[in-house]
Amino acid sequence: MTGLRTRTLGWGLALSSAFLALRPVGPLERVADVALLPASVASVFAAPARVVHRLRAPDRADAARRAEEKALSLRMERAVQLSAWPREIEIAPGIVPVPGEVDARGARSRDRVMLRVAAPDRVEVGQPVVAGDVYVGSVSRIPARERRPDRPSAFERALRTLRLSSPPRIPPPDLVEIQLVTDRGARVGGVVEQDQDDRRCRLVAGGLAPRSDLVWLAVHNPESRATRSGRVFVKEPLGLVGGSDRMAEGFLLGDLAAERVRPEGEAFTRLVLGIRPLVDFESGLNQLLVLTRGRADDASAFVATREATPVMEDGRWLTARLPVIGDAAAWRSTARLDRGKSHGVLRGAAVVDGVRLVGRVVRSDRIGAAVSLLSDPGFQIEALAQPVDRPDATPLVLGTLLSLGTDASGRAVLEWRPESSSRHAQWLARNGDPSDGDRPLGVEVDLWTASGRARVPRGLLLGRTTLVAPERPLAAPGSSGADESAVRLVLTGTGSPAAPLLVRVGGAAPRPDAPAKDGTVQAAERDAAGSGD
Amino acid sequence: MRRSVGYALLFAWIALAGGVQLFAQAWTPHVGGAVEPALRALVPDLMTLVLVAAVGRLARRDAVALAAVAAAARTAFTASPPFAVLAGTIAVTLIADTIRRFAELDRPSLRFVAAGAGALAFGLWLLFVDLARASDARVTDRLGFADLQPAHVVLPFATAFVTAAVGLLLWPVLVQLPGLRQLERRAF
Repeated sequence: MTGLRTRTLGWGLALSSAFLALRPVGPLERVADVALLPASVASVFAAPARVVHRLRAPDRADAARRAEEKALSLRMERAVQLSAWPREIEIAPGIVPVPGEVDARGARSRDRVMLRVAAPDRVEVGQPVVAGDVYVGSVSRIPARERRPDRPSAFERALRTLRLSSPPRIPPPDLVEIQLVTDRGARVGGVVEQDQDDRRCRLVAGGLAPRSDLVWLAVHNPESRATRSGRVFVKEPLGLVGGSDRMAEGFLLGDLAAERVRPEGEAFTRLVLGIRPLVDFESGLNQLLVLTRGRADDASAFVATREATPVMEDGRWLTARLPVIGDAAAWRSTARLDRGKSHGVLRGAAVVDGVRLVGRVVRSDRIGAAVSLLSDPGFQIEALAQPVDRPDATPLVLGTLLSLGTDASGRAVLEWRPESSSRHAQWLARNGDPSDGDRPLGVEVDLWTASGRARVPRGLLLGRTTLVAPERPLAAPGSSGADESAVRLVLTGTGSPAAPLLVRVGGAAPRPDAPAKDGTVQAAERDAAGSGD
Repeated sequence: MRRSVGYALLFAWIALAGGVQLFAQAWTPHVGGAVEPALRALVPDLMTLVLVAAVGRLARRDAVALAAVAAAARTAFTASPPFAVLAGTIAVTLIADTIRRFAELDRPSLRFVAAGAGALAFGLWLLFVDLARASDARVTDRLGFADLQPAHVVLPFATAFVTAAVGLLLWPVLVQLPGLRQLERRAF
């Protein structure tokens, strides 16, 4: 009977645990984390494996190389910031552009992005947002200005008392939500000044055209149905007095195009009129400008942003090490960090060796965290490519890279699937070597982290590789042919997990004028530099 | 007190096995890499092996406690969720215990089956958890890891076979690990 009871209890526990593994419940996970704290002592047995990783690190950077990479990171940051400013369009008097960095995609919709702006006090809902010469959307929410009262229930209060739950986080004051023009509710007036027959045609743009293979902006109510091509500019003839509607007039929306397409699952074709965008809305947004009202000589917005801050000097880094490198599961490439929630290390935080990204925190408990390394299959990161011989050129936005693991030499292999609206062909043609035929031979690039992942700042080095265009034409994600358009990137010069490391702490980037916290960063950098790596 | 010391020693042995396992994985040459079927999968799952050996030796009523101790030790060496590890160790324990109902695990064939089946069940379960969570992350657009390739499904089978083979060799040592005698119960 005892054996039967044990077995029943065992299977019950196994099934409950299996359910909780697949459908995590926050408070129970925290209980498990606390219960497992003493078990972390087992990591002392992993010390010999760590020594082996240290000896076998493929490409260790010396102090000079580290300093050079920091300088390159800063130059890349300046190039990204510069790319947000209009080149051909002159900003009208009375409009002050406020730069902002894309923080993450909106939780509710891919057509909304969260932006961290340099001068939040100037920003209002409805103000237009541009990227270079291109209109991309408008400010739809400022979360810090719409705080809701926190009225926890008795159960919630009990959980908070036990530290199993926490009050809602106050949104950072510099965070604003942008509704992209691709959102189905977005509308903006536009005009084609000169169509194929030299006519002028007004229209309304917003949302996506009904195409499953390409990202096109939808066109509504065109003045003339005969207009089929031409460059589309923002034009709001009936803007409210004092409103923000007309501030983006003259910025580009894209190129009008008309094509016959066959809707998915249907036998007939139909003519689709749409606007071919000039930016990659899916993954190409890194640095944007919010057009605000103000005096042209008002320097408060410019000062904070024209001076790029080095990525490692924003006061959000803490020294750390990985006492356990490796995973009992052979297909994973993970490690255990010696810093946890009590140090401010949260899920998603970047772990770096100098400015080289080593991995990201998967799960954090009180005293430690699990880290997914760059070579962990499935590791995803947004990336930018910068030519090695032209560090001040405008970087190419690659979008999301997916780790496939390592190759036979232990080098990380990432997969790049360019989006249908990617601008890589023009970029490679501009920066590549002369080639045989239309396809450039490839460009040697440094890959850097881009904006869009919480707790991973822009400007961390992923490694060096040779970038080539995909062999086949691009296809929309999910459609047949998407596999052929994937490119494998083999990285050299990646970060070493056995080196002295830094981990990103806290949930939000500080304001530009915020001082370094307790001198943490300076101490951390001294330690890292003094290690002789 | 005596049993607590016994459980602490079992924890230490499993943790030591985990350390040896990671050490062997770190030395494994990158032949094939993780893009292709990895040589790393040929490192035996020593932690599972120690657990199966302990289940074969100790009283059946302690099976769940043994699984809990093994899960605690294993979480220090993996990024898999703690509840996934706990479910896996309990399943391994119950599989070994089920085999033990028919005959003692000292027989070589049963050692082979118990160690191999345990390692295979554990590996496939963790693989399933990784795939399910990655799929969930894709749908909800949340932070996701371990988006695995189809070739990875082969890896738990390779690990299970090697674990079973090593189990044949190491069993005499594993059933006599110092300190585990304190967990034994008298039959009468």
